[in-house]
This record gives sequence, structure tokens and C-alpha cells, in this order.
Amino acid sequence: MLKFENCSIGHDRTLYEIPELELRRGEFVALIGANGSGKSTLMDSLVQGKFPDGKVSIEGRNWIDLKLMERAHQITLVDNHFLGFDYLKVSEYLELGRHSYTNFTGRLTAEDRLVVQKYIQILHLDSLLGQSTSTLSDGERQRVGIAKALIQETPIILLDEPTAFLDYPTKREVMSLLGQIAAESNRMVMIASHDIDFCIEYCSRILIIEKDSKILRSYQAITHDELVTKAFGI
Amino acid sequence: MWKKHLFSFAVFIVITVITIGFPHGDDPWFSFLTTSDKQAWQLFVIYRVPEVFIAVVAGFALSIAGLLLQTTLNNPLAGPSILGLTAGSHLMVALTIMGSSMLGLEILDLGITVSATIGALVFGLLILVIAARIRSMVSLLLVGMMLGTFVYSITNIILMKADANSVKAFSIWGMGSLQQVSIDQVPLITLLFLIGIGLAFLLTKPLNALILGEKPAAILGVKVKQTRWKIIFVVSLLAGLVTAFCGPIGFVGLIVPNLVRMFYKTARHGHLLLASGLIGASVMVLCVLLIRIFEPIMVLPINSLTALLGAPIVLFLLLKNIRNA
Repeated sequence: MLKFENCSIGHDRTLYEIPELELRRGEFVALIGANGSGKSTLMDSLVQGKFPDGKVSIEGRNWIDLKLMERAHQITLVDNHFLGFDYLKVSEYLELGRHSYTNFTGRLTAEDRLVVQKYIQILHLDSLLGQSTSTLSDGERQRVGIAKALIQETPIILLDEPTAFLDYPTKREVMSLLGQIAAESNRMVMIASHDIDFCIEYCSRILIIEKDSKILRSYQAITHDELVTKAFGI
Repeated sequence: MWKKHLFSFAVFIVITVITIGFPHGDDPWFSFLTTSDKQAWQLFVIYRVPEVFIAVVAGFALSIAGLLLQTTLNNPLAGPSILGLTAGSHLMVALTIMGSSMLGLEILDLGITVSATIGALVFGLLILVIAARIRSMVSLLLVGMMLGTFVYSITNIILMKADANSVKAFSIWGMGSLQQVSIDQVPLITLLFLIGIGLAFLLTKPLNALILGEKPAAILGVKVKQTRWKIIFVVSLLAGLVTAFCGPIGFVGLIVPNLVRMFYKTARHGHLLLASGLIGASVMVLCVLLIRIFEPIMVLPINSLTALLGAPIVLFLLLKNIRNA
């Protein structure tokens, strides 16, 4: 579904190349690389539709030709930096996931409400709905963020370090949940992460920004040591 | 939520009715209703109605302008006066008054409003550019205040060269007053006010997304740059309208949206806009009432009154912001 052909990644200078890569629905993909290697840059480029070189296409359509609203129906990013606001309730935050589907008033239709309700139930968020987004724990905030992304109903979901700041059981819970979402809802979920062991255990494919060659390569199965060598040159 | 709106509306009605009926001198309450004196009725229509009317318009418009600025800049300390938009209007009105006097032209209300709007627009865009480079809320506040001080100084230097009539006209306007509006000006003010408010409500949907920040809003499909241009235009129209007819009025646009968010505990801008308007109007009408209460002892300038009410709240918000940081 998401195809890269001879792409350069980087805003001001090329950080790495993606010669050829095709990601499919149902895949849970990990993007691994050293600090500053350009994991977030790839996610930003996808979200903004900005690629200096090469071609990126989704279901055959050139990615940079998509209008902003069309992109909002294809891709979403779970914002790991969002810490919430006192006055923004969880229910209101989740409803924002339907933003690109509503008319100019922003009012949700009955159908929109059904979608919101569906993911609230799947992620067991009923008890948090009236709570302020600023009072959520890290794990709760991650689940709420994922729910908002699901509510946006895009075939591609990106998450920038979704397990950072989480304790061990919550990391497992989040990774398992993401794998389940990819497989059951037929979406492509891509995470940028430093938790390499979790990525090896849960992800169906690992993308490594190779330190030496500055090329992004895809691996279906890889050992911890191989991954460390390729990504960090150790 | 609608119960809270009902409460706010009830508060607004009560304050407005008390202010309208407040006795003048030795007259009884609501004397204009009971008196057969035609003159008393005329005084009511000519002086009291426009004063309360412009207080409602000013409070409603400034609070909504403040809310729009705070959302688009992701800064609860933003407001038209504190970020220098009012100072921009101030400068443009000074230039218009002086220019008209030099050319021997009559100054039209619409001319003053347009120049005040352009002044606010120029400084609004400047703040937008600066805000893209400054992430700290307090730093942006300081930049806005410096900008305001700089522009007020330029205005004062320009006035040094002006003739006595221009200086007098500008000084009266610059003190800020709700008593300068005549009944003839009401239709024009109403029209511009309704256009501004209508446009603000049309921005409800992107505003809801913009509270998350620039990038998350774009992910949701918001054309961020275009929306910010629209917001700054609406803010300039509303702030320019109020500044043109009342002079510079500070703090209302900053404090009211913060009070509304605390009381309503929501991020839905449909509700926040309505509530800010109602509470802002109530605050300004309350100021009119306070001016009338203290009238026998002293004449309170509206600017000082809004600053007295607003400064402690701004201080509280600043301390809260520093503590959270």
C-alpha cells in the first residue's frame, strides 16, 4: 500500500536513502536507528507530504499529490509530546479524531459518534472520558492517543516512541495492543522506537536506518546483535 | 454546558438591568420608566443606551478576540492589548486624526474603524511571525509589551508635531471611554460587530483542533497557515472596532477567556466563544455600573478599572505558568 522508490530523507540535508520499500496493510513495523538518524524526520515527511527526491505512493497515488484533507484520511501520527490541558476532557480529545470527517461546524454525526464509541470500548476508556487530559498517567495518555488515531480511521498509523516513559508491563501492553490493531483492523502501524527487544518480539517487520551505509533496509527477522550492529555500528 | 450558558446569560441580564436602572443623582431606580418628563427619557436614550450598548459590544468583542489569539498562539497570556495590537490601532488612529486635520478633512467613524483595524492587523501579523520563533509564553508576552511601548512612544512623538485640535481629539479618545458613542453610531457598530462575531463562530472547527498545536492540527486536516491569517483578520476587526470607538481598553481580552475556561472546563470553541462573549459583556457592563456607583466621589477611567480587575488575574496566571514550567 505505501511504496517508497529512490527517496532521500532529510529536511536540509539527506540523512539516509530508501532505495525501494513497500509496506502493506496489517503489518506492524518498527523503525530503528541511532539518535538523530532521522526516524522522526521520516514520520514528519510522511505527515507533511514532503519528500525532496524520489517517489512515495499510497495505493498507487502519488503521496505529494494528495490534498491536506485526503492525507488526513490516509495517515495519522500519535503525538508523544502531548501532555494534555486542564480544560480539555478525554472525550473532547477523542472526538477530535473525527475532525476531518465533520462539516464546517465540527459537529459529530450519529455515525461519527458510533466510531468514537467503538474505539472507546475497544481500548476500555469509559472511565476516563470525563477526566481532564492533563491528569492522565503516561500509560493512559498513550492509550488515549492511540484511540484518537484509531478514531481518525486512517490506513496508516505512525507512533513516535510510543513506549518511552512507560514502565515494563505498560510497554508490553502497548506493543501487544498495536500488533493487535495492525492485524485485526487491517492497518499499517509504524513505530519509531529504541526498545529494540520489544520491537523484535512484537513487530512483523523491522526497518533499520543503517549507520554505515545511511540506507534504510527492511528485515522480516533479525537477532538483537545483528540489529545493534547495523543500527548503531556496535 | 447549556446550564452554565444559562447562568452566564442570567448574570449578564441582571448586571445589565441593574446598570440601566441605576439612579442618576437623587432620581429613583428606573426613573426613566416612571417619569413623564420627556427630557429624562431622551437623556436615557441618548446617553445611557449607547453607553451600555458599547460596553456589551466591547466586552463581547475583546473577549472573543482574546480567545482567538490565545488558541492560535497556544498561549493563555495572549490578548489584543498585551500583544501590541491595541497599540497598533492607537498609532494608526493618531496618524488618521492628524492626517485628516492637516488636510482639513472630516474624520468619519468608518475611517477611524478601518485605520484601527489596519493597525491591529499589521501588529497581529508581526506577532504571528515572532510567535513562530519564540516558544516561551512569557517571552512572547514581553515582546508584545515592548512592541506596545515602542509604538506608544512613536505615537507620542508624532503627536508632538500635531496641532492643538488633533492632540485634544486624540487625547480624549486615548483615555478610553464608553461615553463617546452616540446613538447614530449604533447601526455601524452593530453591523461591524455582527460581521466580526459571525466570522469568529465560523472558525469554531479549526480552533478546536488548533489547541493541540500546529502539527497535530495539520494532521487532522487543518490548513494552519490559512486559518491563522483568518484568525488574525477577525481579531483585528474586533479589536480595531472596539479601539476605534472606545479607545484602548486593556486586560478584558486576556482575562475573560481564562475565567471562562476555568468555569466551563471545556475546549469546545463553540461553547468557549459564546461564554467568552457573555462573560466579557458582563464584565464591561459591571465596569459601567462601578463607574456610576463611584460617580459622586470620582470619575473612574474605564482603562484603570479594567486594569484593576485584570492585573491580579494576570499575576495569578503568570505564577501558575511559572509553577507548571
